[in-house]
Amino acid sequence: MRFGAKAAWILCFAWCAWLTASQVWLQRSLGIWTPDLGLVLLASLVMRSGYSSSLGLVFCLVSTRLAFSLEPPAALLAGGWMGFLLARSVAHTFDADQMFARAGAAFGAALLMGSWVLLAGGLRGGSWDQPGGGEALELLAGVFTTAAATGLCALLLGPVFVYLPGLAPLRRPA
Amino acid sequence: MRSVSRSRRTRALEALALLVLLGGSLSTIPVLDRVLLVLLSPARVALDLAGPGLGILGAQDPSDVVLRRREGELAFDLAERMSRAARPQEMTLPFGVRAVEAEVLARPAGRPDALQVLLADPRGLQRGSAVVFGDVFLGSLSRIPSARASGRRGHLGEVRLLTARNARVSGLVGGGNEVSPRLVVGGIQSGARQDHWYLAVHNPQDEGRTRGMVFLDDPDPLLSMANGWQLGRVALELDPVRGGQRVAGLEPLVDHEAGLARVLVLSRSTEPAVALAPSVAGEWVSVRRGMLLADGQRAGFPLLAGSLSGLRSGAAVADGQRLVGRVIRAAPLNAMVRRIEDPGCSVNVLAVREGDLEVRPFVLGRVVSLGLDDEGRRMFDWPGERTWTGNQNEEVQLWTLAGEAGVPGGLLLGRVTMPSGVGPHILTVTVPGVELGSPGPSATLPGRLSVFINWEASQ
Repeated sequence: MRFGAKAAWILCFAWCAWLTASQVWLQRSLGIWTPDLGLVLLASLVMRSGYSSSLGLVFCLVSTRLAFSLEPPAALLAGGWMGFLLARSVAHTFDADQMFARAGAAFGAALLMGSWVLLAGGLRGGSWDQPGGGEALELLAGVFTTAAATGLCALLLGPVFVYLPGLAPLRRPA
Repeated sequence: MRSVSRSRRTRALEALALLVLLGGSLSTIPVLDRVLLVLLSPARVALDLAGPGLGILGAQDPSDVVLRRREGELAFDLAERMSRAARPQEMTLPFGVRAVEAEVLARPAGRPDALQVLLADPRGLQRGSAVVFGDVFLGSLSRIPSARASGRRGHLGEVRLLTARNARVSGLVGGGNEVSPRLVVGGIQSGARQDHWYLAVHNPQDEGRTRGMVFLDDPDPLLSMANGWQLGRVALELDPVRGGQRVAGLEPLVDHEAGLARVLVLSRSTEPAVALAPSVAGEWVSVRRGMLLADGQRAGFPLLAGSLSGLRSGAAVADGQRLVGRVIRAAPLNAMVRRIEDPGCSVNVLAVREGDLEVRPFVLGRVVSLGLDDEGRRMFDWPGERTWTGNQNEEVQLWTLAGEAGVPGGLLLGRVTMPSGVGPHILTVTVPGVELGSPGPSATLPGRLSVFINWEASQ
């Protein structure tokens, strides 16, 4: 791997960390309407470059998310990976610069990841570290709202995410 | 051709890894979780990168210094009360027998009928020594202190409770009979329900006269030191075959599951035992916290230290004397804390009436968080199997109870007005000094918090 590509991955990790931190900050005012900014970056980059197999993005997204999330690492990794696979499928089906496809990919990835993490949290057996109840429909509605906000954010701001400084090697088509 | 087969192999490996992760998401696989935490260790760097946000998101030092000093004094009082509650109330120790204080650290994993204890003074203790709490016989010492715990003033031991399947002791029915019928007690009565159980009674000498309180009367030289201590009260049930009533078992006199924080081990010696220092159970480490997290209903925050600093899953996190939450996972360099108001978070607690040192604390057992109400008060679900014995609608303080790995006794949960009657109840807990309607008791926390580490406790 060339130096530029290595630096791009390091910067991608840093951007993921800052985006997740911003998301935590935005959650205070926007609540469930806060878009999943990490997934917007992932979907936008995958749509732009058409990655066929790059788990580097999933690793950046999940390892930074893990630092701020109570959810179990396996659930986050599985959810992030499935979101990536969905975005990749959309990228293979539609043109790279179709804004609605990008929004759809981000929406689907957020819905898939959010639902999976919710399901995993509910089903994991165990002791005191069990997440509490809450109405399942209410929680699912929250996931759906967040996914919609993520799709909307990808629709309007996707190109901005793709052109974040330092990510040039990652946005080149694979 | 070769690249096609490599691509297929890669995809097969990816699919396999994804399947493992999907399985690991739905059920707890400790090894997988540990491997992933190590693999995803760069998460710690993400916390450092996001560090400047900490200042924006409300790192506050406590302003109510007087209140907090008072809470420290109350915690000290509580330790004294717990120590007093463990001592015999009506019984007197036989001549030449001394009681050695032991703090319950945890339940060894997968063995609910055993207690891991820290003993103040191991001299004269033997495997099989009697263990009591107040006037109640609990069981016997199954593992004696072998080596001094490094850096601690306590010694590790293990207690086998009378609830263990193969535990058996001889008992004598009290009640002023001329000839008291004898019986054997030990284990839990078969067919016990989850919410109610009895100590099993075996071979009662005269079932018709087996009524009232049963006391220990065992010929074993070590157990006999506790002869006269209570085993339980006879519980009766309808006999569907012969009619009338038959012995169902013994009603336990203490909460074996959550109510044991400090116990006494009896040993033969005329020298007084060394008192148990309050700080032997573990130590507090100061850790910098990351940004507060509010992910849907979930409430927690990251810590900028992990298992390499001694943090373990389940460890209590405190702000002064107040319980803030518990570590939910600890990677090598960072950890995640689940706040106590996060729905589903649970802890063992007891209720204490402020000021009256003579009143024994009332053990509530495990309370489970239901989140915050509209005014920012903590809500907890309390099964309420034992009815509150104090005044109706009396305001009490809730404190943590030792006996669970990582959680020391004497951390304040808040104040609550106790409900009357049999549970389940919902307890609405207010934290002193926190205004109602504010974002919540832990919404603003200092930049550094204390994490409890007890190295000896099995996790």
